[in-house]
Amino acid sequence: MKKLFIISLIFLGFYQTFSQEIPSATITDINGKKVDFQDIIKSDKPVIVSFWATWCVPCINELDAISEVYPDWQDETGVRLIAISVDDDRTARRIKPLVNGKAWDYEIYRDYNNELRRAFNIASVPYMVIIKNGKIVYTHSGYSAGGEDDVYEIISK
Amino acid sequence: MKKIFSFIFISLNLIFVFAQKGHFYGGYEAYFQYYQNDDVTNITAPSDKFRAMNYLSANYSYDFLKAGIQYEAFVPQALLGFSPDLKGNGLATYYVQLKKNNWDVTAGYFYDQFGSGLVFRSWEDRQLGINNSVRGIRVKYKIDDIGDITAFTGNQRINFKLSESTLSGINTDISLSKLIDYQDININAGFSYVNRYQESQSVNPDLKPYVGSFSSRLSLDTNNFYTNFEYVYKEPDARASNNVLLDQVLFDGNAWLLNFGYAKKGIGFNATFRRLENIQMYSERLLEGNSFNTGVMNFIPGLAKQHDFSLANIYVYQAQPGISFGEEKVGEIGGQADLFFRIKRKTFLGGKYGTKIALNFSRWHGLNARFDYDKKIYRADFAKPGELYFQDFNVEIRKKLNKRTKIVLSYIDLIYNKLKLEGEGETVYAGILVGDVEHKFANKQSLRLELQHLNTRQDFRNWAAATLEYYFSQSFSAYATDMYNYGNEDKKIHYFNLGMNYTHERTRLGLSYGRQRGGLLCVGGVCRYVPPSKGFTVNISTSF
Repeated sequence: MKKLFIISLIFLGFYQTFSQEIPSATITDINGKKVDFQDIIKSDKPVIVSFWATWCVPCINELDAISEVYPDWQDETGVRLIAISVDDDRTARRIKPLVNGKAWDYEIYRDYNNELRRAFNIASVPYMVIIKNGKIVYTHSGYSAGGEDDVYEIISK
Repeated sequence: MKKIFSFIFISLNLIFVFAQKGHFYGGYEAYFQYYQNDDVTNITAPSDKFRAMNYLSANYSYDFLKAGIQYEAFVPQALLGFSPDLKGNGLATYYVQLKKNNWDVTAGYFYDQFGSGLVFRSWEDRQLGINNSVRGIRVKYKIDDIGDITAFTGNQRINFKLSESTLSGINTDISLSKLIDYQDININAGFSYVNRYQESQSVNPDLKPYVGSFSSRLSLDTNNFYTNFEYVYKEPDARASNNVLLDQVLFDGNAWLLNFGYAKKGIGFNATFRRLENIQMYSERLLEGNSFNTGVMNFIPGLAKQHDFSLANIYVYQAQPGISFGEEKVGEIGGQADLFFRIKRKTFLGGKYGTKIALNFSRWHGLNARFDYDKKIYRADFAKPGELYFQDFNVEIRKKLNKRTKIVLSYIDLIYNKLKLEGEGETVYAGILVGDVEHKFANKQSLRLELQHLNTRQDFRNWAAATLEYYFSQSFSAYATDMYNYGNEDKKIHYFNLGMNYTHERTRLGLSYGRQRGGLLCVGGVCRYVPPSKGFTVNISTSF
């Protein structure tokens, strides 16, 4: 137990020295084609990566809320929103009809066996990452009404 | 134990040196629980009142190399409802992965999934206590744009040990349309073979140590219409029940899955049909049917909507893939359909902001089978459904009322055959109504109120539930929730919970205190039973 404590301390020491980078992981597009995460986020404009699931109510709330202002955001900042579903094969068949039924204009991908989720160490969804010039500038887990206003502040900066 | 600590220490130092060049990342997640006695429900806290589960992962990547470890500590043992074998601490998983050009080679523990997972899936789910990663060697090769091929061999992780069996598998997914250069329709085919080698002391000469499973898949995609089909066959194998090998008669197994859908902007439809017969697979024969999902080799989710509301999670469907002569069960047959659409804004029903509607229907039966108890054999019909196990019809309406207020209304009508699904009780017919309102104030604070009611004359009868959550900011919220079983004639119990969540960048902290209803906790269609309890819970997660 004592050793565990010491190791944890050493670990926390390391914590300061590392910054999170963009991991490489194989995910699939909406038609099941495998792509690498690093390839799809390349952009000189801000990129919002939103981890969500078809069964997650706050995730849908967040993506619904953004979809209403998304055309304005795109015009003003050129932002792209990449919505990555963490649905497993139980619910994955619901992704395509749901996205269409809601008429979302996002780029939709699926982290089909949680490779990317593990690389980011995401414990729960919704989980959002904002990337600017190849660097992660913002991370947030959870969603409550109005969260989209904070996102707008960051991408328009 | 000492060895492990020095190993971790040395690895951390090495990582520190390497981190100057490559990049280092990881995460820490912990669940702490303090159990109390509860006079209202007559629950006595377990002898280990304080329990903690810790997961620490550290990874390093540099150019084409990636390596990592996961350290787990269950102090003194895992929470109630998890496998009692999850106790103590140790280095749980480790791996080295080389990715270059079209090659991807992993040595150590790895996670993978073939097709929809019906033939093989190794994954981690901490809430369910599942980590069935395989320790061995895996090689993946990408055939340019046409497809990929994967082969592996190894032993499966069983808590802090390894399976006594050896698993091997091969999988390929090929784009036929790319192969024949036909662009109008996207056609993909897949094939998998997974083998388990386990010696046995059985007197039955037909029982071979090698048992194989095959999966073949085909999918077609046009712009709007899509369909896919999967067939899985498992070679004859002995069964097991409560740690006893049943090897007089060997049974093979199979699964059929058909899915199709239509989607274009504004509307989406999907339907799935599935038939399962004796298709559960475990890395050790005697693990079959264990209640902690230990040693599962494939992924057989219950195909019904995964509801996010507490009262809708009292009667949850779990897939029925196995044989039980006693309960007259040999599998399941049924389907699920979804329809999503929106009513455009500025119409009568759409209002100012439009309305979004989701309809879902699922219905599952047992296979219609005749049993010969003397010979211990059965015959099942292919398409004729047997007894009804489960049905769920539900509708969900989402609407933005004004600039600050949003509502979700949902109604669920379900039939749950408790006798067949849980082994006791009567069939439950229930109706569940849910209303969820979210209001955003001018000062960026917001409030969420959720009201639920479950109506049934069976089992524990009626329930009412409410949740009130206040967000002081985007990073801090507090909530109070109560589920009240007011229809229960024996004991009207309040299952209350008070809690708060704090999130800052990549760190999340949750605290709660309350009474937990016992029942199935399901994530992604896989469930574990959680006993009722009362006490404090702390959950921390962070990544770096």
